Amino acid sequence: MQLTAVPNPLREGLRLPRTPEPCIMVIFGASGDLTHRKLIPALYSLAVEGLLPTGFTVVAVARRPIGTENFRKQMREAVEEYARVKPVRDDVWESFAQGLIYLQANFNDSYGYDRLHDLLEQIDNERGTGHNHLFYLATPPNYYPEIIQELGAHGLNHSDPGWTRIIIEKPFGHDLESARELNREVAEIFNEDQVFRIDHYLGKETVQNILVFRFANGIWEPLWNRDHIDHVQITVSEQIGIEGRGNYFEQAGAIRDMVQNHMLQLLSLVAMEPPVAFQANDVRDEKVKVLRSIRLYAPEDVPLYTVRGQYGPGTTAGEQVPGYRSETNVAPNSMVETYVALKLFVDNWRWSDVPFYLRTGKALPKRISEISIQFREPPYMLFRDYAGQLRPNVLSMRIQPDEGISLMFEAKVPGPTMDVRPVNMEFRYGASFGEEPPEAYERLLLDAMLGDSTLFTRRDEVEAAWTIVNRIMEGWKLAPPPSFPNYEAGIWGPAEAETFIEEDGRTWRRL
Amino acid sequence: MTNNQPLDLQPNPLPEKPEPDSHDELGALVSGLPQAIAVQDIEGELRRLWKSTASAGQPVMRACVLNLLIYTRSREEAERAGEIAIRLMRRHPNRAIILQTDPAEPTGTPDQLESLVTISCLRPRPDSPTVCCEQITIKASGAGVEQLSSSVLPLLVTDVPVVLWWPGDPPFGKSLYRGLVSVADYLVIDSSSFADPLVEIAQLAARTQRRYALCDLNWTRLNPWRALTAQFFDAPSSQVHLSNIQQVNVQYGKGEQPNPIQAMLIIGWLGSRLGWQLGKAPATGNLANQSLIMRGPNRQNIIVNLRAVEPLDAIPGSIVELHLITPNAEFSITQTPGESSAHVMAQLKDGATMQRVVPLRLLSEAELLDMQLAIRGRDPIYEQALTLGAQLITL
Repeated sequence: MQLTAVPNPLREGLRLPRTPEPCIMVIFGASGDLTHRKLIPALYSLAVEGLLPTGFTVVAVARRPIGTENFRKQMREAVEEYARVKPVRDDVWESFAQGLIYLQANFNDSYGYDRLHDLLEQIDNERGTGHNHLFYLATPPNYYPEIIQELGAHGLNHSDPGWTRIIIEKPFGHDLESARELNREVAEIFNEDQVFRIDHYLGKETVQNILVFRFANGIWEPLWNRDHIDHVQITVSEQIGIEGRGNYFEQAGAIRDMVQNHMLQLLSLVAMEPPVAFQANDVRDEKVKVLRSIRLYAPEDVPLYTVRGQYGPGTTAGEQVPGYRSETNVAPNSMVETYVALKLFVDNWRWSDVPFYLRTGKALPKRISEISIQFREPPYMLFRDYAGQLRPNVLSMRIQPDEGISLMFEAKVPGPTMDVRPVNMEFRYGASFGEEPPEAYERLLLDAMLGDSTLFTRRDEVEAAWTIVNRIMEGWKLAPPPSFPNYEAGIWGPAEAETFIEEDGRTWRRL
Repeated sequence: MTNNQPLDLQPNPLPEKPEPDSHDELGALVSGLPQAIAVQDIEGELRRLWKSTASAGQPVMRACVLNLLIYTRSREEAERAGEIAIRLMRRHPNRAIILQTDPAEPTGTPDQLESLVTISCLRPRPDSPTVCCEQITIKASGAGVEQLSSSVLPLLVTDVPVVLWWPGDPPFGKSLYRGLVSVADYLVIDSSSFADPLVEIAQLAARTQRRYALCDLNWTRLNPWRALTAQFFDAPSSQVHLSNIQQVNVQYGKGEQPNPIQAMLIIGWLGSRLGWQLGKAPATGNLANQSLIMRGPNRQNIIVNLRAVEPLDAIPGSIVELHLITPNAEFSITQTPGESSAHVMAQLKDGATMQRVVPLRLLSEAELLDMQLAIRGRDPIYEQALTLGAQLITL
């Protein structure tokens, strides 16, 4: 019998609405990088801040014969290096580590799931975790189907009493068909409200701030449309290359690595209508509407609206950088793109004919993620005679680094003449709030334990995003192959990307 | 979505001392060198100082989200208040107006006011810009003390709240107090320092419906205890125990004079959230150690035991243990002796014992203020806890 949560009267007035119920988090693929660098450090940080429930337990499942004690030691080292909250407190760590248990098992071994089932029962009885289980798939995606099937076959996909949820890491599918297939496989075993598809960008403070900025302030919505906005630019740029992840990147490319998930998420947050309520499905309904409104190009037209690039050798931050094709596990004649620029249109009443320019790439001059809204010029330029060239107003939301929001506008320079210059009015997280924001995974894991899926991707949302990306990939297959590499590491992408936007009478923001 | 800010439990520690700005020329202007000037010249002097910072060539950010008005009774208190105001700059950049009334240190001209003006800067993080705030100290003696409230009014920055922090015992009813509180949006006091808890807590409780919001740092100290207590009952399966609480034991640190206000506030909090009322039977014991009976909404009796024990920290009156007993479970939070942590335990009869260690350290005055200033508006939960707690303490 599911117990209905009623408001805890002691919570009223406290800043945190509620903390999760005691639960067990089962991490498949726990010997991997994600667990070391992100998951356990995030959980430890939550423990230090008292946000984990009493009795919280992690069962780490992986194939290697590590053992619980060694796993705890490894995780202590991981926390020393990667936790946000430092130095590591011995007393809190000891208490937290009591709840870390390692289970060696192969993902396709039915007996391993029997042992997992028995272990969960034992922990529920001994540590009071209430039959609440959160499964985290941190394995390579090819293991997802068999893990999900085995969980179902062993009755681990539901709890009564208690709840069961599953977090699935990106990439969710390789293309539209594989994403649909994976969704079907998940849906055979879990209900949609049990499924949490993670995109860690949504856990970032600054990404959440997009919604607060738009919908907690009354001044922006009247301007947030085609009547006042000329275009939108979304940039997610990395200074580093692929960091040895050739195996993964050769299969993914920039379009799957960044566009299908992070960038389309940012676009949907910028373009969405106000939701009827700040509840998970109401917010996600509006995001899906945006994705469905994005114009699908005919495959033969895709090259008109996209630019692909691949970096060659160059220099970033004063250091020589090899080309993509020289990276580990990358084919010497690889045709995988490391840079993508797109022009998208959201065909609805609010955004008709407003272009959304997206660009993302590896080995660019700096690491920066930014959304900029460029407004239309004034209808009549009173000051043209006095200024070299007036610039339109730009509202920019800096996702990382140097998180904040700034508005650029023209102001008069003090003096006897009517001299006009652009100035910036800035809100910066670092100056306005001295606090370090929590890591994205802290927020997301907490929400998953609470059952709040607002910051997770819904089934139809994933498929709508893949529909757009699939069409682009189809168009690329039909187009003549690009001449790679076509930009050197350390510059802002291929020359075609500059031409691409200049043809529209616009330019990329100089970041 | 959840708000992941852990302000209830433990704020990230404020820096012990703000990092000084490293630019030599700017440092001389903003290192806190006071300038003694007449009150009416304060704004002009501030403008001059800001211009100096601009001409030094280093970009600084002038920030102010609130007026922080602090009443002090000695030079030492004023200096300490100034340091706290600087530490608060990181999250609450402010214009601090420190009122120093010190009979031992009269102003140069009797019955007159003197003022000192500084601009203090800090860089919250190595990669962030320098943030600078203003600090004004007004010294008064003799009849000048009565002029303080009128001198403060023109110095308040518009459009931002006014926080009046009155350490020690606020002289409720006195004209200076009335004058200053009339411009305040928030009144911050600390009931742990009340010299006469019985009398002053009643006076405080009578002020919950005033125009300003009442903020008690003694209540803020309870935030981690409240959060940990609430966590016991977040799970639906645990909520059944809430209505079955039959006994509450609270231990708090004793001092030279007993001050059970914090203990009473946590009982007042529990009672006001769970619909408890005072029982008819009188309390037994004395102010330091007493037992009383409360009545729950189902007419059940709840025994409340308060006991003063040797304090683990320097603040007498602070809670060291909270223990809730129900027929089928017990819940306890116990501060670990000598450590900045607490042992949290939930024990179910015929079931599991769940326990963990959480950080729980004594919060400094600056940290308490920092947490308090993050709350906007009145705190009805505190007001209800205070009203019920004050009734208990006066039994």
